[in-house]
Amino acid sequence: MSLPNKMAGVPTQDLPTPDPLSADAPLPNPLPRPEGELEALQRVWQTPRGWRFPTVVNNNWIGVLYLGTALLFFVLAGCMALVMRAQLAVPQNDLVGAELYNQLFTTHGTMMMFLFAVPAMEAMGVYLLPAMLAARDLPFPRLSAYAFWAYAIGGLVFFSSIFYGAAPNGGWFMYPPLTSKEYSPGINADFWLLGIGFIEISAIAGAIEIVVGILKNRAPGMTLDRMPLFCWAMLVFAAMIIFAFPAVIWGTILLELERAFGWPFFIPERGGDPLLWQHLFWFFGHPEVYIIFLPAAGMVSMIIPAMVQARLVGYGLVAMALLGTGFLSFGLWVHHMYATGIPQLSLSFFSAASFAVSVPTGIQVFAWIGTIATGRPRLQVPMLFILGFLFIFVLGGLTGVMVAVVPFDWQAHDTYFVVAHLHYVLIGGMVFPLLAALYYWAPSASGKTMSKRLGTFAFWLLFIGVNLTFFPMHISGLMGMPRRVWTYPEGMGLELWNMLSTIGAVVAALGVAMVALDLLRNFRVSNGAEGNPYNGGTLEWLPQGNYAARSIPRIHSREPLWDNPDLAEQVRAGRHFLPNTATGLRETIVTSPIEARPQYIAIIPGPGWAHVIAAIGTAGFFLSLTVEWVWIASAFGAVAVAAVLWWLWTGTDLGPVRDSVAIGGGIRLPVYVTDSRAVGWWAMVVLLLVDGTTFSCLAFTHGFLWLVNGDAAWPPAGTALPELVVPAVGAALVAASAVLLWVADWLLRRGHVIAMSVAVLAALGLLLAGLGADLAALWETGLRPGAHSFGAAVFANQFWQGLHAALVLVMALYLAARAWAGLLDPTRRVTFDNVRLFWTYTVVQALAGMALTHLFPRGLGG
Amino acid sequence: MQVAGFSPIPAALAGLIVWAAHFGLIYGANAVACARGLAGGRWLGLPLVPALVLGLTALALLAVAVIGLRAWQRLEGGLSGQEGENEPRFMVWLTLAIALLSALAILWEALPVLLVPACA
Repeated sequence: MSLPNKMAGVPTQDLPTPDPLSADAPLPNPLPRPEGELEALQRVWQTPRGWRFPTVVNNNWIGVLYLGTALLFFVLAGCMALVMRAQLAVPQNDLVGAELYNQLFTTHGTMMMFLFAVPAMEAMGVYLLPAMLAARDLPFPRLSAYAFWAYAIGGLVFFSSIFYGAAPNGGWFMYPPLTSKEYSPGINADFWLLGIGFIEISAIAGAIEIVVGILKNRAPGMTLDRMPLFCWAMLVFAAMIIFAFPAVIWGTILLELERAFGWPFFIPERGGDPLLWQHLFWFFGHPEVYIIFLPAAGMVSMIIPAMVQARLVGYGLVAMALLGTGFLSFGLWVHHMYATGIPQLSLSFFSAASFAVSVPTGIQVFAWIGTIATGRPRLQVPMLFILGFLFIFVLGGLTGVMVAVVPFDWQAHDTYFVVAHLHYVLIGGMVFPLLAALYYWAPSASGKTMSKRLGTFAFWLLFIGVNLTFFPMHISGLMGMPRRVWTYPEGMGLELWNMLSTIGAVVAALGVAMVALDLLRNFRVSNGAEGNPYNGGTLEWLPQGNYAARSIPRIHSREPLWDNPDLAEQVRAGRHFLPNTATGLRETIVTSPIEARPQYIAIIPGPGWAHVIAAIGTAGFFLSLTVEWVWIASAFGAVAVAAVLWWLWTGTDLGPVRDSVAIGGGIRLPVYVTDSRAVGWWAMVVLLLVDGTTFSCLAFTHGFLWLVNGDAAWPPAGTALPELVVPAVGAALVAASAVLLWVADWLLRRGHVIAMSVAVLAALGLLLAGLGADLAALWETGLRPGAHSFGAAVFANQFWQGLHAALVLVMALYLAARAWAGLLDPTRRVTFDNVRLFWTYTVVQALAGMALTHLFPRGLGG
Repeated sequence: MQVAGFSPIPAALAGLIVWAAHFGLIYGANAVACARGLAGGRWLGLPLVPALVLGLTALALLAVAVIGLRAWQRLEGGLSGQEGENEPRFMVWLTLAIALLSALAILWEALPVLLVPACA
């Protein structure tokens, strides 16, 4: 399919004619370049050395560290799998006992999902996206670095819990009542609930970075339909994290509130329902599978064209398929709950949706096969892994269609058939593409290809090993072997299949060892690499420094390196945009979201300690809470908050350090903007989407529990709600704080900075008073969270509103401090704008929350 | 605050947004009907749940058809007309392709209502 790519555009008025982005215009910058220009660029982007190395923020380094850590967790979780396979090799084995086995399979699943698969994909995004988009870095490099450190520290502590018998043991999806306080009294379940907390924060931080980076930091002229498919995939990936992770975050909060304080969300005797957990978990859990798969699909769509030296067939259809999968995969969560007694018609909706989602996936598979057919395949190592991926993933997809059929699923439910299916999908759909990507893109980091001999060995060991491990599980599953059993009796015909699986696991482990050996021998990170060994057509194969490409190319097609053989040389010589450091700081071009027209130059922060300390504080906070060291947790939390404030104070909202700068082609850009062009504005909006989704889960909790309890028990008999007067006053106060913020804006625009800060503090008072009045009125009626799920839901709402009030409190004080320190004025006001955005959201959410507490039960006639 | 040049993205996703609303509504309607024992009821002389689901489905398909047809006309008529030149053709094509996929998914998911009892 080919679409005419009209270079859209009447040039906007501040651009000279002819349009400097068009292919007819001369190259943006002339030769020779001024003396010392390149040296200045290198100096600004220098990597910190020695004991300062942990302060590094550049994506080339953070991306590789991130990926290396994810691969470490892959190996560690894989070792756990080997112990389990050893235990299951023969019947009645006593290598590990039931309790340790429970911890092993729970930790294996949890680590593979949360500590390997999602972070590995974020790592690939952080590493590859700037180079592919020809951005100097992603817009918030310290945020990526923070996400990495919180994850690396927290993940290692989480893993080590297995050595103390403290690892979670309720399965990676942690169903209550098994994981409730009654049946899991120890801290094992808390390790999951709190220990995974920071991973979720880290994933969301990464997702915000990726969405904003892809939409706002593309090379000039790289319109959406010229964007590499990996970027499309990462855009959908990050958007899915934004809408899926809030459900598990909310579920985790509820389960931890139940375990710690006895709020009965999942206890039927007191109006709760364990199915609430399953809904929340799988609303995250099913999209999670596609969160892992889509970036892998994006990688495949990049690697195949290079391997066969042909353009991808059906670019537009593949982009459509990625978006379609992103949506449809949210309509599948109940297919994990076929055996829970949900009405048959409801199950059928999800069964049909499970078929529907295979349509876009099928489109992609045919596009890949078509591309291979139009080109000349070269059997290099990445291509081997791609072929392995197609074979294994298609098999997993087919068993997926089988278990999407409700009656078949009832037979296969909770057996090794499901274990076989999910490993075929995840290993085929994610691990093989990741290994293909590792071999394909390693030269872009280290400057040389990895070994073809070791790689080929590794491929065959893994391909044979994986099939030998998991294919027999289909059979043992159909014979009735349940998942998650630590042993099985003799004489049921299971011996052969289990022995084959164990042998397969050892073979696959040898394959992983080969990859590790190859990495040790042939992979070294460098500050920049040259060469394009596989002759890829996209921008990551431009000559790179720590600052990515020397000059930022003007883009006219999807495979610029194939269409313009001189591009690499032009870019290296500095003939394209921004060949220098225009402000003497780290910077990148910010472009418009659809057409990628230059909008402004964003200054991005360099190395620092603040985000590292914040990450240590965050991980320490969650982990000390797990073991109930409340005071130590508070100390860690305080350190984290202080470090974040220090980080913001010193590294963000620098204001207009220059009026404007020239980037070439006659384009002059501002270095500071405050409206919806600003990357900070976008990041805040994306964060509010996360927040809004979490609030929707809160509302769903109310609706679901109402449905389960019946109108008469919502609220339960004997529960009185406060008269409407008090909440009405509270709502008015909360709304008034938003009005006062509008006044503060008016004051700021007129330069009355101190008066503005007074208005902001007054608005803070109104917000806190309004929320406090509502809470006090509820408390006085005698309503308590522990008695019934109604009270629990109401106070969960209060908890969420209180958390926002606390955040607004910190923000308001920070804003006032900036004002008093003279760091805020009518021009330099991004801090104010972002605080106002969050605050306004908080007000709207508080009003919706009050309606949920006071109006929803009344509206039911209760 | 106007977000310059952003609107083609939500526009392209319109079909899938309709799909999401439809899916949420038919699932929610059936869940409430079964939990509250309303499934035996009738609406306009038809069994309640199938009538409701088919009605919602007709509405959703209509909405997707409008989205798809508008995109089709813009593709056929060239884009230099009233939409202005700043909207890349690709985004309109994407709108149409996504509308088709959404229509397929909506239709597919509603069909079981003709075959399966609501609350068994």
